Amino acid sequence: MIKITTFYILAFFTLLTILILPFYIGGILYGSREFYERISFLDFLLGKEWSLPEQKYGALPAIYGTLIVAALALLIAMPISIGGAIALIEFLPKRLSDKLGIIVDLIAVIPSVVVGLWGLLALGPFLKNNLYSFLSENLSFIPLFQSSFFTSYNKLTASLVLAYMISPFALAVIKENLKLVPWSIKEAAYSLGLNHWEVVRVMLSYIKPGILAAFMIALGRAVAEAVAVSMVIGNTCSFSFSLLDPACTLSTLIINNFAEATGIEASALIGLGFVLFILALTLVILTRFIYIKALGGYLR
Amino acid sequence: MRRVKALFYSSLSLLCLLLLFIPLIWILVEATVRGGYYILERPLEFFTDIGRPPGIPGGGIGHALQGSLYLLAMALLIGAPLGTLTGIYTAERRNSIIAKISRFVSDVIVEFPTIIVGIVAYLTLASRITGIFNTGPAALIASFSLGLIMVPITARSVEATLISISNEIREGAYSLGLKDRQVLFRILIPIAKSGIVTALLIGLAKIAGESAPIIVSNGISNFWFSNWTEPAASIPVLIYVYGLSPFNEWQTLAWAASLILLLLVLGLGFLARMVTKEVWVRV
Amino acid sequence: MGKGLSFDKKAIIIKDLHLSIGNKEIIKGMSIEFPLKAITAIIGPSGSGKTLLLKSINRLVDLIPNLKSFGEIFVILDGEVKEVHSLDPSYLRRKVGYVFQNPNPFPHLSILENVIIGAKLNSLVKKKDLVKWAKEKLEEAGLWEEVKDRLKEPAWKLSGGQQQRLCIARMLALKPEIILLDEPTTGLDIYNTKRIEELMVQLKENYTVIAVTHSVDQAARIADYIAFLYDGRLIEFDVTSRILKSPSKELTEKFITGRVLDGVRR
Ligand SMILES: Nc1ncnc2c1ncn2[C@@H]1O[C@H](COP(=O)(O)OP(=O)(O)OP(=O)(O)O)[C@@H](O)[C@H]1O
Ligand SMILES: [Mg+2]
Repeated sequence: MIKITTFYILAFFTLLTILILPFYIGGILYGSREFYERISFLDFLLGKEWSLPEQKYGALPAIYGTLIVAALALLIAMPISIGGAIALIEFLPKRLSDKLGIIVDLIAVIPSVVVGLWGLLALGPFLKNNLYSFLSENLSFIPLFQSSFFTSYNKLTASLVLAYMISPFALAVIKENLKLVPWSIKEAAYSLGLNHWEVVRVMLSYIKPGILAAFMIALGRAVAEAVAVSMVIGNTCSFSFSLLDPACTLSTLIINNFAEATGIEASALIGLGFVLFILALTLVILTRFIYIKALGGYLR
Repeated sequence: MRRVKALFYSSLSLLCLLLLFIPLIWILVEATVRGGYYILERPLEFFTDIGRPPGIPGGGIGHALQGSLYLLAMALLIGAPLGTLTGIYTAERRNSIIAKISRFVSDVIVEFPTIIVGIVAYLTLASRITGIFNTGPAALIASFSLGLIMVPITARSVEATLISISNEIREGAYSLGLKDRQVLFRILIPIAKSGIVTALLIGLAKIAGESAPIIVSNGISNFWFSNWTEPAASIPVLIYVYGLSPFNEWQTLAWAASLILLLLVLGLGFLARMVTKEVWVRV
Repeated sequence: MGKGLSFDKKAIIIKDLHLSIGNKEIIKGMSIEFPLKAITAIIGPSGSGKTLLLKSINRLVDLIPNLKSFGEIFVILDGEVKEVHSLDPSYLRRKVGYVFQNPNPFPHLSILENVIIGAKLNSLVKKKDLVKWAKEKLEEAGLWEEVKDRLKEPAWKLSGGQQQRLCIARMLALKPEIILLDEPTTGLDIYNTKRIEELMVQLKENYTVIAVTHSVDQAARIADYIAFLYDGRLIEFDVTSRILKSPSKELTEKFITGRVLDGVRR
């Protein structure tokens, strides 16, 4: 008989935790299998139209929306995160930067539904009155801002809300990397007669892999976010190019419809979940490898 | 010229930092102005009553508070032991193959879209089409998803805490002839106590604000908690539903509930931050 | 067990011990017999395997991942000859006390609790006698006078030398028969070093003492026997006076006269 020791019990629970990953993978494969029996995966992936009433299930508009909103959010979030991290590590006194650092960390725990509510009832209307009306009146010759009819809720609002949600995560990774820049690198830069800002630029080029890791982590979060985005994106699927037009994403379609969906409709939504899953899994695994490299095996 | 450039860019970096604080303050002010007054006006009704039908003023979030309490308690019951024990194992057998796999798995699933966790839980356990329990959307399934979501964060933080205990303490304990169980429960875990509590607080802070997995696996409910196999109300979902509604009264309740949720989650986060200096906004 | 070995006045007999971590061989075949109720000092340059030899005796090496070791280690405990690998490690470690290179009191426990925790968890002493027991052991370790008014304070508040003596008391509270000390005076001032040296000399009345030391002078002051280790091998083992006056190996002489420099300390 095997003697049950403390570590056998602990190992058992650890194995259970390990099983979570195959459980997720198996669950989504199992759940979407019925759908792919009826519709080929490729047809679904490249289908250009999504309409529940017309029973048209094409994932492409949602993929388009997901990518464009995520890209825009990163475009906004990355410079801000890099700047914020530099300010915290290099330009602020240690004690102040420790305190502000805590607040930045706390931004990361604001529930997404609260950020969504702010986008829905405060930021969105504010932008509509102060920015979108200006853009559509004066800059509508630029295709990005062309819109015959604009509301508070569109790709730009969604990107801004999303940018705010991912920034603290990107900032935290960049901050950690900046802290790990060896003193000798800074010393060498100073000895060349560079000023503080120029030294920071040297540091930034030194932590390029870390910035890439921050980018990937932020991208993963941007793609996955459901609730906040669904509250401000306008929820109309289209391939429109204008930032002032509404859109939909993989996760917003799911969150908006999954609770009431039945039959083929539910299956189609699970299919979207499957696509999101593949996207997220790829990003997460890629990120892990980049992150480990970036921090020189920090995670072991 | 170089000096001007340096000055410009350093100011720009400070501006970036400032930009991050503006929405936080905006959210706090907005929630206080548009929701806080209502809590002060009718505190009892707000905390103990249920929402009113649209258009009728008054009402509270008592049902959602109650539902959240149930959901989180059950999630903790599922997630806390799993996360803690996994963390202990991966720290104390850190070179074993199981520990290495578990570390990889935790790093992967911690970044997993939580909406997918909800879907998987629903599909495997509750779905009327494929389900095992066949309950349909249910509170238990939501708690199960939330429990799974907190496992990797808890595990990694517990692990970090235990690893920070020097090996000499561990050897010292074994040199006294203590058994594995005694070394763990009488020496290492008591030393790491505050770190483990922090790990659980971090896990709790993460799931307390989650709404997506609840919406997909539990659905939406506007009633008091009745049964684990029925949908339950919760604060995050209440904010979602009331916020999106066109009714002023409901939007007020959503803001007020946001204020409560923010205080709760920021409080948990702050507490965790006070207990340890670990970087926890991390993969 | 231990057939053909003579245990006359011996406490530990090591037969052909090999030990490697990963692919690195660290102890390369070592046989030593440690005399009963005497102090044996182990000397040798840094990295020569002194600590690992000591930890092999009470099987603390079992905790090191990727470690492989073979060879036999016999000890006399409770009047019987036993091979350590056949023993319950918990019993072995209780009977073979160990003091570490750096003091490692448990930070979450008070001074008093640190002394009694081992005896308590191993149920060696009746609960109502624990405090009396602790006092006795603190006296034995020469710490009682300094801490008797602050027994409830956390152990980390003590000075390094006091912490080390606390660890000695903690170890003595287990009623060991053999005591292993790994450079117990590293980093301590002259006063504390002297206290601990005196203590070791006292201990050999009742215990077999093996002490790793970095200083030949210290070995000369306290030891009855000296074992000189070099690169995982036992070079020479003899009575202190003989090994210091007329070592039979050139390497030993070089080390004693300070011509084999220590490796860089970790
Ligand atoms: N846990 C371990 N993992 C890997 N290698 C180790 C470990 N412990 C010791 N070693 C290696 O084994 C060799 C001998 O170590 P040991 O600690 O026994 O030396 P020592 O003689 O006690 O030295 P010192 O005087 O510096 O304490 C060293 O080269 C060391 O690097
Ligand atoms: Mg040593």
